[in-house]
Amino acid sequence: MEQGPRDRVAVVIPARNEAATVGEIVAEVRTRHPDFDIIVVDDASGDATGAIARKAGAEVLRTPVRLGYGGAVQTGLKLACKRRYDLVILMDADGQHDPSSIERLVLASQHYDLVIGSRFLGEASYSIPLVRRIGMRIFSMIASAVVGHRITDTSSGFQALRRNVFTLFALGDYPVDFPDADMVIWVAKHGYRVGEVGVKMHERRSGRSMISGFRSSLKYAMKMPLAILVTLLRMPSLGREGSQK
Amino acid sequence: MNIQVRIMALVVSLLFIIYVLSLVRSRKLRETDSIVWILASIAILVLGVWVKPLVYVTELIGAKFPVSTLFFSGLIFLTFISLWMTTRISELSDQVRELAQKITLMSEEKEEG
Repeated sequence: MEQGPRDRVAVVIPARNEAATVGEIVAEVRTRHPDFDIIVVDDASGDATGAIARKAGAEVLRTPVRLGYGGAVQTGLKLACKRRYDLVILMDADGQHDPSSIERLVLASQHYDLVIGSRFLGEASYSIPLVRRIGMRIFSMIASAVVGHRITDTSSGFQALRRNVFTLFALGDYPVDFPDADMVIWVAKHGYRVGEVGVKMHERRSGRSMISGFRSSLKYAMKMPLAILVTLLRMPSLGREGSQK
Repeated sequence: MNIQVRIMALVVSLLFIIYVLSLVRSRKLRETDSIVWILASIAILVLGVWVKPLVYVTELIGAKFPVSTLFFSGLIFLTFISLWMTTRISELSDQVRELAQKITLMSEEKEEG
């Protein structure tokens, strides 16, 4: 099934100090999907991330101070909301998310409001540390129970979001550090459809993961169960916007 | 409570009130934010002069000395102040994030226009 004829699609790429990879990513997305708008949110980088992304054909939003991954994503979603795009593809600028998988996310978005690109259903050319894998599995199991079917990769930042979902994230709360199973649960609690497709993921070509090092891992391990619990206790805050399809 | 402890409580609370007022005067602390500290200092000042309520609470909670009650109350007060401060920091962080996002989007609008 093809993407809807009038669907306006934006690819939102949060980036901080990704000068080494962002140009290549933007260029590849542009070649594969010339009709998509590419928005790079340069999170107060200290290098030429913004200039390189612009040169490669992206529109660049530069934040005046570092907002963190979630803050940068939310900035892009706010712009998408303002411009009333129909679909947003979220992907990283570090080369981990293969642009060839965007097509699969777009196709699946015909049936779901939030499509997660899963490395476990697709091809992941790298290994994840055991402890983190266990954590991801537990959080995915909780999210699966709420969603009502199996979700394997809640921590994937490679996603397709229909307008109702990115409006929810843009206008409501969106975690600044680790958007994960809590956001999947939040979407499901609003009655939106959550699905998954296999995607290609690679070892990041530059930079460091948000969850790297003892301190970040500990923070993630402590924060996520709490975030899930709070999300389960929260009542849906916004009125449902009609599904696009 | 012996007289030395009472005098010390009086002196410390008086000095503290003076310090808080000087911070407000030099605009390093807002009036509204200083109220809780001034009230706490006044409470210690009053309890230093008039120990009856402190003795009553000490008996009520089964503590041995009024000084212990005073320290315990101080600890609870500081714990709540810390929690309140943390909520303020969270609130301010959210406001900073929102402002930064608005500035980012306004810059984009300006470039577009």
